[in-house]
Amino acid sequence: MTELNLKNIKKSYGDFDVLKDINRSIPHGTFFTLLGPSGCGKTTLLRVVAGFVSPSSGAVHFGQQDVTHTAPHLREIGMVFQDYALFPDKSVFDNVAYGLRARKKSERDIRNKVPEYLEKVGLEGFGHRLPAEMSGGQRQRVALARALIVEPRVLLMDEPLSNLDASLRVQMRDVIRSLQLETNTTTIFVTHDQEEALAMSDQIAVMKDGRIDQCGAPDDVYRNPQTAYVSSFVGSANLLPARYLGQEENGIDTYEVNGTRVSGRTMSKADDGRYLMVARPENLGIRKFSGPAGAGELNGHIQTLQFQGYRTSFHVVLENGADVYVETFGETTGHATARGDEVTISFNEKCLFVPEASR
Amino acid sequence: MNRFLPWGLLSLVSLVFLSVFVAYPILGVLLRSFLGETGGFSLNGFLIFLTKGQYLEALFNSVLLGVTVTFTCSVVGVFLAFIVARYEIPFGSIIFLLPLSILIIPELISAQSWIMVLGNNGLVTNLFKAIGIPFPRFYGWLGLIYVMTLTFYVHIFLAALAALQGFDHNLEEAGLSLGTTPLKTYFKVVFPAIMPAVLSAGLIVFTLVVGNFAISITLGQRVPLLSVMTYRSFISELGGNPTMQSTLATVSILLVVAVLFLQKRYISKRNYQMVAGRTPPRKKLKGWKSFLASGGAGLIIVLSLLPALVVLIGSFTYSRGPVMYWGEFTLSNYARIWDFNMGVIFNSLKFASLASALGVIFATLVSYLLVKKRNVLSTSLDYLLLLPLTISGTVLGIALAHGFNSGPLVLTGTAGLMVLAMMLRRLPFGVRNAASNLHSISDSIEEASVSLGVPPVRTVFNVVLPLMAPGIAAAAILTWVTTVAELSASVVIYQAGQETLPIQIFRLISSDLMARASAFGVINMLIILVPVFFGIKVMKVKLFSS
Ligand SMILES: Nc1ncnc2c1ncn2[C@@H]1O[C@H](COP(=O)(O)OP(=O)(O)OP(=O)(O)O)[C@@H](O)[C@H]1O
Ligand SMILES: [Mg+2]
Repeated sequence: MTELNLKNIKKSYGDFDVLKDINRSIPHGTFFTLLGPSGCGKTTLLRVVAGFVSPSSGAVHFGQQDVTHTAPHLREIGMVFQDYALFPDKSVFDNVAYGLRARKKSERDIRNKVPEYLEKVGLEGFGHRLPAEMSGGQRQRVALARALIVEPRVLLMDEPLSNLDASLRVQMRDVIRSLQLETNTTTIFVTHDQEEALAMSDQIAVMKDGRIDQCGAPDDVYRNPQTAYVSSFVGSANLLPARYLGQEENGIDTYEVNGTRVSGRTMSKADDGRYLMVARPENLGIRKFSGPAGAGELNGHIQTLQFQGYRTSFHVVLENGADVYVETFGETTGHATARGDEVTISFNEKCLFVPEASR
Repeated sequence: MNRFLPWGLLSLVSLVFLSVFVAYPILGVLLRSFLGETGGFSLNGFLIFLTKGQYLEALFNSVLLGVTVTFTCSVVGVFLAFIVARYEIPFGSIIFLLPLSILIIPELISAQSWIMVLGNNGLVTNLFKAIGIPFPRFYGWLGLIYVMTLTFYVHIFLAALAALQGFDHNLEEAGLSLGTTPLKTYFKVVFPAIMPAVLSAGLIVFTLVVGNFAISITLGQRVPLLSVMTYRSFISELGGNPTMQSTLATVSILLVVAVLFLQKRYISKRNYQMVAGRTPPRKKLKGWKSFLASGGAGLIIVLSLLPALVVLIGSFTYSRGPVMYWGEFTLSNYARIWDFNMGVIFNSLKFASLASALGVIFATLVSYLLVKKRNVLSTSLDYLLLLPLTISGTVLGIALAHGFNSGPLVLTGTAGLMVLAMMLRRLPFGVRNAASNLHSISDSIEEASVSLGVPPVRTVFNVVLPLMAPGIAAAAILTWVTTVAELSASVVIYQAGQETLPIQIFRLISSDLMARASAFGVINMLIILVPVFFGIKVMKVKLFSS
């Protein structure tokens, strides 16, 4: 059983801190995704776990073993790279067998095991091919088989899908996830695609500037973002400035947003009292204008609208000029349906409040 | 445990090697040029250089020869490149022999063969004499410019051809559609576009001419040249005061450094690269134009390859002293080699194979360290590797001979020094080739291997070296070719019993024994040709890819 522990990991190049105190315990068998924008330190953290980068301070534990000072080739990991990194002069069979040969496995074992793993990734019968004779998706499957066949303690993947085209990417998600579940391999998966992260992971760590901003299950991160940054990086969110008014009798916090009162959950306290309201487009109500807005409501007009079958997206400009995006699902009758229509937007208790400073 | 240790250690070893065998001897030459008769600091050497007319004259001649040959090479090279790139000529397919010809025919043999044709006892000279027409003296400026042009134009031809083939035909058509005549279009659009390539190749030709030894000394007896004078001062001063030869060597180093500097400035300033565009279709020519184009190109090609033929025939020709009896065939020239001179062949094979093996291993190692494992020593290594480019073979020979004839490490007179000299001359090119090879191998391939449990050093052997193999083979062949033909450095440092084929040929030419020299020449060319042929045909090595 390999529980992965990252303890106070810091990494700096010169006076530039790439990783700032990363702490995380990842249970055995978890599909753990590092999600964040370019340059936030995802690759660096992954390479710290692999051993290609030594942390400036802190420790990496695989189960009970402290591997901080263990050379990469002794860590028993598997890696999948963005550019596949297949050995171009070796056949698919020899690529997959590479790790087994390094472990001095008998040729008989290898002849049994390689086809088994090629089948797992849907490439039975491709053993004799050279990497150059395969498509991108097929190459990445070979890379996956090559990494998994050694039964690594940790599987590390750095944007393995970003060289593939969109439809293949979705298909490969399933391949990777089902193999990971089948082998129950602790996995760290790096991506900057939030949809990928939400679809595949047991846990998502949203990174920003060398820190993990928030970590949790996909639905938890989506429903309960602790910061404005997480709310807009995972899924989309309307962010409107809010002023804290106080608590109602039932203990719910009340805010003033654009002159109307809205109540909702406060995710964390702002020291300076300045908040942002987080409203997911699908959590907002929209109806045809029918008089002055009440509590928790704001008026505006439809700037554009896109009908997409099962859902409709609205871009609404409020009276004070702020932009709000709204999505409705299913029947749209009863809603305002034309460009330029006056509408009323209603906020509900699903709206969240986060400190403005957490953007 | 420090996992960076093996690479750091290897970098250090490489650095020490280059410091001891390149930097130290060259520094010695520079310092000795400031040494007075009594041993203290003195500018006497430079004073003599500037005041005694012969030295300044030699410098002037060398530069003049360099400029002239660069110009003639540019004319010939660009002309040929145009015809090959744009027109269908009947024998277009044998053009690929041209780059091979500079490999297979060493410049010494080229000079020798032209002496056999146009020299004092030359075939054509005697023909003219028989008819009664006076033939111009070949030794001197005429011969130097003629032979050097035929030897070095290929550099410019290849550069211009590559530039022309990469030139976007659309631009040319745009020029034509704006109403300019084809000829004007060439001058206004095409020439400026290929100019940078031609110029940088031209600077290479210039340094080759200025540093040239073999052709200069065989054809330039009447023309004082810097490289020949440097060699002569070494031969005559051997054991005596080394100031003057060091001064001459320093001057030629400065000359080359100046040119390299110029090249760097020029290239970095005008580095607009042509987007590889549509290659224009080759046109068919008709009438006198066709005659001119294919005739001109054909003449150049024939003249480039003729030396091999002349030497081949010469080697089977009966001779007495300097007099060749053309048409009377004999095997005696080869028989003499078989009876007396097999050692020369063995020397060449021994030195060249050691130098090639050593050079390729070292170049592969250093390029790997420089590309994949950069550390604090890398920049110094980069600079040290540039040093051999700044010195001609003659200067390298002098530097090594003086650097290691006393002190803690005495190598003068050993075979090791011969091998070292041959290896060092090719090293910068070897490293450059291997490095460009390595740049195309992604780092993640190595990391993939390491992550699968293979230690870093074994990873290099498992996955990097197999990918470098074609490049290494090409480098090995090119190193072999240049070391087997190496004359200018080895002729400075060789001792009795260490004669190589080029040295032997050089001595025979000096004694005007052309038939015997020819036999050695044929053997020399064969030794070059066999691995080249084997590499291209059997191993499918691409010699001219980078
Ligand atoms: N060897 C290095 N020396 C100096 N800075 C580095 C080095 N490696 C990474 N960095 C810097 O560390 C920061 C994080 O890099 P990292 O590669 O981890 O980002 P990333 O999150 O993987 O980004 P991307 O999504 O673009 O791959 C970047 O600003 C990068 O410039
Ligand atoms: Mg990255």
